[in-house]
Amino acid sequence: MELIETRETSDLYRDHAIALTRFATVLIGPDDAADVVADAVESLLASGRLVNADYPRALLYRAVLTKARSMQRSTIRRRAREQRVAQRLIEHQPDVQPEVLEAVARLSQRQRACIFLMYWEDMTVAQIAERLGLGEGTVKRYLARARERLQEVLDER
Amino acid sequence: MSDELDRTLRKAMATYVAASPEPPELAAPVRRRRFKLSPATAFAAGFVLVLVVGIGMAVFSFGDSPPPIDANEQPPITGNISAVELGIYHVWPEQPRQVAAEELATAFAVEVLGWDDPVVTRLDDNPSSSPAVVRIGMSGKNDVDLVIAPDATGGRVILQVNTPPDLRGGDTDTNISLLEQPGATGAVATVTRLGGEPISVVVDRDELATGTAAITEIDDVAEVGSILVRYTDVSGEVIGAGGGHYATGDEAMHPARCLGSGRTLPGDPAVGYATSDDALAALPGEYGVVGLDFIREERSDTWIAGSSAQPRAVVELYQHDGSSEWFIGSVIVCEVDGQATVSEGNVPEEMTSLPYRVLVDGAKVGDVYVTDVATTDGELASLWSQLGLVGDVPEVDFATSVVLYFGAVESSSCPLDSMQALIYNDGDQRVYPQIPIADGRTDCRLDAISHAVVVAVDRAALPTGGFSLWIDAGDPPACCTNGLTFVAPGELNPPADATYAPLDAEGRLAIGETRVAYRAYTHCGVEWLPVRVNGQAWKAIDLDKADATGVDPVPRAWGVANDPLDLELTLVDDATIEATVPGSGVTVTYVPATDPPGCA
Repeated sequence: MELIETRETSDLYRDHAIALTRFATVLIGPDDAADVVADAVESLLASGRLVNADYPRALLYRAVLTKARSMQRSTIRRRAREQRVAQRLIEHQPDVQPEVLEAVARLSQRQRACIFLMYWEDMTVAQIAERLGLGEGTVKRYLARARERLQEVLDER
Repeated sequence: MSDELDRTLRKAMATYVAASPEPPELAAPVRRRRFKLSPATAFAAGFVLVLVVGIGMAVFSFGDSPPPIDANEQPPITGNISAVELGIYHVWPEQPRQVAAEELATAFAVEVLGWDDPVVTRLDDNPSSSPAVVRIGMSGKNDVDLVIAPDATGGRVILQVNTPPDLRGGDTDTNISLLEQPGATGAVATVTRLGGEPISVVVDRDELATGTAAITEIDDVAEVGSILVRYTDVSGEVIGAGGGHYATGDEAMHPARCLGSGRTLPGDPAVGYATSDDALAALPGEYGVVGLDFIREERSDTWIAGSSAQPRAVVELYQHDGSSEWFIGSVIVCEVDGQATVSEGNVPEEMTSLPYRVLVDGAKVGDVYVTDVATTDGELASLWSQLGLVGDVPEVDFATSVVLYFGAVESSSCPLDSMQALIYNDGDQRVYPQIPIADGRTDCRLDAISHAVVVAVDRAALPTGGFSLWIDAGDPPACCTNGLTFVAPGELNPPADATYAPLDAEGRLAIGETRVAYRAYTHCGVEWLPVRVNGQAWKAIDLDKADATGVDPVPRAWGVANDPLDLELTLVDDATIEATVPGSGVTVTYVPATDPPGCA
């Protein structure tokens, strides 16, 4: 039986809590973001994988993405939630075109994760791939498809 | 991509960030234990457990700690699960078995799941030569749905077990998604590898809760052949399962690929195309793929000719790393009934899009692998009833139109979208609806759900030569050729003799005028005129029943009872109609009547 050092994991979470919550907000919306982060990190801590991980930050992001995906399994509930989220976001930032936010909300969570990391955290494709545990080609495909759809929205304006 | 798009996306992300809540305070810590099986040991010794990750109990400083958890609350799996040898290009058994689908499902339940009293139910009505969907149920267990397919040897194998796990490559491992299985406290995941030893991993409750399990022994997802996850309860009994196969190649029998005789034409990775349309346009010249009508699966990079249940060819496209160009990944061509769909240098067959009006387009209506024609109000009413449709039968002017019915097939996991076109292929003289798959999934289950399409088509637009009606561009499966409807040359076209004007839908006829009631409905005989003329029914006064066929008589010279007739009607005066079939030499006289009795 192994007793896991708590201080490191505690600090690790505190260092990334805000970024993880923002990441979860993009994935699942502000209503459920905190729950997703809490569930994901607690599961990760309980598993003991975080302590021995070579890339603990990446592990945290992947856990949040996995939890968010798990949470959105009910398509109908997800769509309703995303519509509410898009509406709330529209109320927050009227200078962003509503149809853009709606289009972002309709992207898959992985596409949104890639968009967030590229456009908010300014990460490269390689860094996103490493962070999310995906192949670089896969990340490029997600980004290309997401941008293609959003470009269509812009073109229609 | 445009700068405007980049700026817009940055703004959108800033919007999300602005709406982001405060980070949560974490709750109390929990413990986890992880057991892993060495594959060699597991298979040699019947899943004797080898503990590769320590049993840990951790206490963290986030929030208050809960009381310690009893170390025996989650007892380890003790060997109740027997070893099982999976296939690489399918899930189970390793070698196909020459048994019926239900029998194979029962064997799976007993030998793999350890269930002693399974109830096996067939969920589809596919013919024996097609893939089948079978459900295994047992008291106290979760239902397990299997997709079972025949292989080239005539045996059967299991392709899917419930929803196949998602597969994702990590930095140094492979992650598989886990199903939500009520009552499960753990699982055993068995993974076959291409060219390697199988792996078995025990998943504990905590990992189960995350929905993902890591297979650390496999660092490249391309190595994975098949996966079977058996979910266990607190006593170690198997209570559910999920699995699928991931290997591709000639031996693979993916539901969205060819079954049996499909073969792969490797693409040339050095050849790139600016758009996917360009890639498809290159198929005849580069690959010799001709005469196939490819439909893109929405939101996917897969194009299918035929249907997902009966694909004739599948083209995979993927975006090349580092550029916006599309490349052909692989072309898998299915040869049906020995008819090669690939022939070097052939000119693609001519396709014509026919005008049509949709009367019905929906799932779970009617039968599958069947087509039919309605040429009269009566036949349409009969079809309406046969399809179980409620509401008024739509009005169709059968003088100028006919109704075509296509009993198409869709998968429960990949429903069909609305009909997009009615195609006539001059190459094989076949008329069929073009209906794309609504969802972008390619891992379609092979159950057959009916999807009825009923359209009205202008008679003049139909091919003048003989043709057949089929549900899609592909050849019918061997089971279902009876579903093809053959139309003789000119059978549905307007008559060549223009002096015979067709009777319109309202049955208007002037005194002294002659019109033709096309393909009049004779199921009820002709004692009562099969069509209403000038708003009323008419009854024969000189029908020679002794020289007639059928319980509900039809003059022998006119044809056989129940066959549709082209009746030439002449209104002699306002109370007399003379009816004949041209060339028969028999004329029957009708007078106005009320309350036609109908027939069974």
